[in-house]
Order: sequence, then C-alpha cells, then structure tokens
Amino acid sequence: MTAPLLWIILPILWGSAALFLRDLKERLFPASAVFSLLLAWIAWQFPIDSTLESGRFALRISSTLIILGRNFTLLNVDRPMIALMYLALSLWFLAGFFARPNLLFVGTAQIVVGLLIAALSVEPFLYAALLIAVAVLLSVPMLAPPGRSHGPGLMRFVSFQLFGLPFILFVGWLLTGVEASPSNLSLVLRAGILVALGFAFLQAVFPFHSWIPMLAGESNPYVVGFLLCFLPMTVSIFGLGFIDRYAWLRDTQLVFQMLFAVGAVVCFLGGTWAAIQNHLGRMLGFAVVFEIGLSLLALGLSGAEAVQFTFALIPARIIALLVASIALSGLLVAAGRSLLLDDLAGIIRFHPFLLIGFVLSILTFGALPLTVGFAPKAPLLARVWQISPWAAAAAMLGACGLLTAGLRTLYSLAPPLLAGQLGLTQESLLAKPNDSVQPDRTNPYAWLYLAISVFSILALGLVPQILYGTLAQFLAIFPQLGP
Amino acid sequence: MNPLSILANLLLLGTSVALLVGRQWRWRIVALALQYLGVFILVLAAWPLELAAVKLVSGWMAGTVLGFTRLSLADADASQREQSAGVGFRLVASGLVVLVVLGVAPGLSAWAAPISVPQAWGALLLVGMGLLNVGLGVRSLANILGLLTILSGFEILYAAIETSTLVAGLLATIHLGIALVGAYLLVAPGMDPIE
Repeated sequence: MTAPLLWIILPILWGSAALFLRDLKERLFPASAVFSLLLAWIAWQFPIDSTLESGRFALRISSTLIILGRNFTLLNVDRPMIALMYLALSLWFLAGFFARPNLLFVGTAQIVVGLLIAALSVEPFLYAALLIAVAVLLSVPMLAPPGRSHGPGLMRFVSFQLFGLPFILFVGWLLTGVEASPSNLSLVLRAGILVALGFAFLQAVFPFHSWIPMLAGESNPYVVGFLLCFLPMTVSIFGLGFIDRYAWLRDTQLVFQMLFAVGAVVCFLGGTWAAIQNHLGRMLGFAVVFEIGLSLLALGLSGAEAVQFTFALIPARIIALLVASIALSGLLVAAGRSLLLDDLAGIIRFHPFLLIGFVLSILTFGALPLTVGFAPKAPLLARVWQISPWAAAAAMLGACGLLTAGLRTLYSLAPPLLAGQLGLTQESLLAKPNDSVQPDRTNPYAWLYLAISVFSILALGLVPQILYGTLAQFLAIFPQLGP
Repeated sequence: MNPLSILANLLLLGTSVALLVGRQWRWRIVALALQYLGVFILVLAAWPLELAAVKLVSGWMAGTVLGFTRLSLADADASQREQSAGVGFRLVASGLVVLVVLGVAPGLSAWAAPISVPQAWGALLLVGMGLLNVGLGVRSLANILGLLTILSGFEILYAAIETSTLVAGLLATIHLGIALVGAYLLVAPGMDPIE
C-alpha cells in the first residue's frame, strides 16, 4: 500500500461514494467523521516506508505513488501534518451533525481535503496550484447548493483562486533559471513578483481578499467556515515549502520584509473591518482575513520560527472557526436566513448559547488573554515586535478591532434589559425565532455546544501545552528551515 | 513568421471580441469553439499533435457543456439578453487591450525565449480580453467564458515551456471543471433543493 493511496485516493473515493449515498442523510456525518478519524489515527500511529510485522502479517506503507509520470510523495515526516488535517476534518464532520449544512458537504469536503493533501504531496510541488484549483471548483456545489441562486462572492472566489494558478505555474519555469544564475537580479525580481502575485491570489491577501467577506455573507456559514479553515492552512504550508526549497528566497531579506509589511496591513485591515460589520458572517470573514495576516507575519519570521508559528496558529483557528460556524448556522436557521445584527436582536433571547459561542470565537481570533488564541498569537506578536515594532503595532490594532467586534456584537444583541440604552424597538425585542428551532435552555444539544465551546476555547487557553507541545515535529517537514 | 500563426492570432482577436461584445449566447459559444481552434494552432507550434489535440477536445467539450446547458434554459430565459448595453465601451476597451498586447508581446518573447512572438500575441490577447470579460460580465456565463479565455491564454504561454502529460491532463480537467461549474450555476437555482 502507498501513503498517497491511503490518504488521497481512498478519501476521494469515500467522498465520491458519500455524494451518491445522500439517502443516508445525517448518518453520513458520523460515518465520515469516523473514517477521517481513522485516517488521522493511522497517520499518527503507522510509520511510512517502514515494515510493521505482527505474526504472519506484514504491513508496509510506501511513500510514493506515480500518476502520469509525476510523483505523489508523502514522507514519514509528513505524518503529523496529515494527522492534523484529518483530525480537523473529523471535527468538522462531527460538528456538522449538529450544524446540518447541506448533504453535499460531506462528500465534497472529503474530496476537497484529499485534493489539498495531494497538492502538498505532488512533485514538482508547484503543480499544487493545479490541484488547489480543482479543489476550489469542486467546492462550488456545496457553496451554492441546488435550489438556491448564488451571489457575486462565489464567482469572485472562483476567479481569484484560479488567477493564482498561472502565476504559480509560470514561476516554476522561471525558478529553474533563477537557481541556475541566482546573481541575475532582473530574473530574481520577476520571479519574486510572480510568486508574490500567485500567493496573494491563493491566500486572499489584500486587495484580493474581497471574496472572503462576500462569500461569508451570502453562503452557508458552516461550509464557508470549512473552506476558510482548510484553504488558507494549505496555502500557508505550501508557502513554507516554497521558502524551504529555494535558497534564493530564503536568502533574500526583502522577501521577509515584504511578508511583514503585507501581513501587518492585512491584520490591521481585517481587524478594523471586522469591528464595523453589521453582518455576523462578514464579521467572521474579516476575522479570517486577520488570521491570514498573522500567517504572513509568521512566514516573515523565516527559519524554524516561521514553521512553528505557522503551525501554532492552526489549532486555535480550527477551534474558533468551528465554534463560530456552528453558532452562525444555528442563528441563521433561527433568524430566518439573516445574520444582520438588527434581525437577530430579539432572536438572541432564545439562543444565548449561540451568541456566547460566536462572541468567544471572535475574541479568540482577537487573541484575548485566557482564550485558546492567546497562546500562539501573543508570542508571535512579541517576536514580530522585536524585529519590526510598527508591524506588530498594526497587527495589535487589528486584534483590538476584533475584540471591539466581539464586544460590540455582545452589546448589540444584549438582553432586553438594555433596551433603553440600545434604542431597540419593541417589535425587534418581541421577534420570535423560527418555530422549528428549540430554545437553547431546553435544547440538550445547545448545552453540549456551550460546554464544548467554553471548554475548547477557555480550558485549552489555560493549558495550551496540550495543543502546542508537539510543534517541534512539524519542523522535520521543512529540513532547510529547521534548527 | 508562420502564416498559420498569424491566422490563428486573427482568429483569436475576432473570437475574443465576439465573446466580449456578443449578445446572443449561441454566437458566443460558437466563438468559444473557434477560439479553441486558434489556441490549438498556437500550441501545436510547441507540442506534438496528440498532446495539443487535448486542448482542442477539452475546449470543445467545455463549450458543448455550456451550450447544452444554456439551451435547456432557453425557453424560460428566451427574452433575456446575455449582457447589458455598453458595446461601444467594450470595443474601446478591447482596442486598448490590443494596443497593450502589441507593445508588450515582443518584450515577453525576448525575455522568455521559448515563447515566440505570435504565441505571446495570442496568449496576452486572450488574457487581456478574458480579464475584461470577467470584470465587465454581470452573469455567470460571461464570467465563465472570461475565465476559460484567460486560462486558454495562459495555456498558450505555458505550452511553450512545459510539456508534462500530467499538467496537460490537469489543465484539461480545470477547463472542463470551469465549464461544469458554469453549467451548474446556470441550472442550480431551478433544481430541487437538497437539505
């Protein structure tokens, strides 16, 4: 058996089968969660390219699969990354059982993650852009399910992601020339510009970020949350691979200065825009823009620190996005397909747990102390401060913007006790939720959601070493960036 | 300079302008099909026939998918034109694109030696016109046609420097994927919901 067969082909086949087995309805969610958890467990337990013997049985997972003359290689050092991605996917499926996105989500999400892992394993690794493009195209049906028209954000998402493809592919050809003659500054400059543009499109860096809030405002928040969890994570790892492989990139100080400058601007704009949003979906979208800025700052640190901080940001982001996406899915159903603050004013009396979950997640994005987001972000910003105080200051302002967004949401949707100060009308306070949605206080699932949200955000924030104790393992994926 | 390449470039100019200013979806699909013929001729200069034919076949399949899907919507949407007014503006914009391409293409060819000047003309023309189509298009079909045009332009450039079978296959998959996404977005609002 080969590793790509196990972690790429098999999940894609499972996802394809899930698309045809939609009659199983919500049972698909736990089944796919168990399947993904199993893949994560195998990645955690079984070494690649080593033979495991038990009595008469011997199992060997080899690292390479050849398709059309090109290699898909998953090495032993990649196992923590594979385990992380499939563990995250299983959490999304488990939570999906409660959030109930459309049934296309299960199969499509499984295929998308399989393709993203394929993107991180293909050789030459620049072909990753092609596989990311295929994943983006496949995700369209779950973003615009049958029976619903799509908004402009979807086409912008597809267009911007596809625009990144030519730059990344073309730069692959240029880089062979750069490696042959690194002293050719004009060639290095052109290659650098193309790399920057390609990544700016793929990673949704300002000004190509606009699809994120648009999509978050018009599509199912759970599906968008899933994409915003996995796409930036894959592109960040892809970016680390770029820096790891090309010495001229590692040795060019301007690259890291640019990453700092752009990261700081993206953090500042993401946080600031989040603070002034009246739509909770768009607010979450801008929180992710802020996170993308932090990823760029982490990449800008270069060396082992870049790897550690990039991977350290991921668990907190997954948790915050999951908690926020479930909350928005619940509120969307209760409020009758609107996530505008004004429309939620009365609804929130019946669903305070969803509000608490959403606000906690936004505060996590903003690195509030004692939340799970504080542990990786505070040391990152402190390290950035040592190198570039103004970049750290801009990122901190962005974080303040997110904290403002969280507190503003809490204040705007506060209980009717504050009606006088808020200027809410009697009608909005008396608004009733969708009859089919059970109020939180009598809903055991809502209590479970509240308990898990508070535990994952606050308890893991108090003992972050549970999440961040294994970061050193990721260094082996990028040997040139390691210590 | 190969006369066939000049012919291919003229074909690309005509079809890309037709895609940009055309009002009838049928003529735009025909223009797309002819555009792939031009792409095929320019790619043929760098690739063997059997590999270059992948571009033509995948492109025509993409056009067929979009055409048949749009045809199935014709009765319900017969009175609607594919785009709003502004033909004059679009023509002026395409003229500007042509001017830029004429100025930039020789430089690109000099910088990237495997890319010939006719290939650079065709590629940059399609990228520029595709960007206009995506930027000015208000409907899914216009955006999808624009994306296909941009990708076709890039493929002419990329064919000159890369002959990998896997890449050819993946790019063909992406072409078909874009067409299928376009077809899906056209019909999805009328489909039965899946909850």
